[in-house]
Amino acid sequence: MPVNFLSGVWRALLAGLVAGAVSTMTSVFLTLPLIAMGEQLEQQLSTAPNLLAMARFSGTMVANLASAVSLSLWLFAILYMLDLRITLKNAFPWVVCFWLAVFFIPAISLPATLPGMGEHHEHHELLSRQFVWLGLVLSSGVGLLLHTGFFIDRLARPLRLALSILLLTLPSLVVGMLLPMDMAPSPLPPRLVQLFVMYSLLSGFILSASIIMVFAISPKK
Amino acid sequence: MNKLSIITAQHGGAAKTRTNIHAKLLSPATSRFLLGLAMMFLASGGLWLTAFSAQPNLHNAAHDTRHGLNFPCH
Repeated sequence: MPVNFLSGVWRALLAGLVAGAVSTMTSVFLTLPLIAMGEQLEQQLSTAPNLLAMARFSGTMVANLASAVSLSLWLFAILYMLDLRITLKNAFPWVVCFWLAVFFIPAISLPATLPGMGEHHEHHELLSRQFVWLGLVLSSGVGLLLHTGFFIDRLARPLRLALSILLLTLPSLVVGMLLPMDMAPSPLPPRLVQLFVMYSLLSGFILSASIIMVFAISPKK
Repeated sequence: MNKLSIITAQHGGAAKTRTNIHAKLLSPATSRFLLGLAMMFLASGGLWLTAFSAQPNLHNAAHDTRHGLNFPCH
């Protein structure tokens, strides 16, 4: 029996709110301290900026909630269009696929950056990187859906695999060749940058897992 | 047949015709696809506001989230 649209929307909103709250907690412990260190080094401040100051923290919290709800609604739209369900049995592959598509594969070409890394580009460059991020998410998402067989059963398996491998690898390779390399020296220690990239991917994984787990455990109508 | 039952029959017939027209225009799979697509557009709007908007207030509010979740920020 197909999923009821309205109950699905409520479930997606709940998943987004839970994931946004979890994401806010993880960012307090993982990414925010490193962002403060980056800003401190960038502006040569004697003390780190207070990221838990009310105005700034509330902005981060609202943005975390809004982005988690948006991603959750995105996922629900895909589930609804393709008539798919997330259960406890298939939750883990869904978490991995969601994380790969939204966080990991885009980060290969566009790794996480800290404030102060000398990556202040022109506005049009930012716009092109935003389009590139969106393109990478869409292509890897479709590639993973093809690979896992969630999508288009009518295609022959070898063709489906070939298409999915193409969609998962080619855009990253093309973007890697086309995007200009940032050769400006960074005032931040490489260890700090590496740690931030790792923590950003970990935050993405926790966010993905929170969204998928709420989808998996909430009752389906 | 009393007046009420005639009205009900007429309305029921109209509803049936309307349902048939809908069924001919939109198959369940098509209506699912269209609803899903609309939801995707709505979600993309929300994501654009938090992750992509260049409006300074929105950028400042979402700055740490953008860096933390690896959305292109600067």
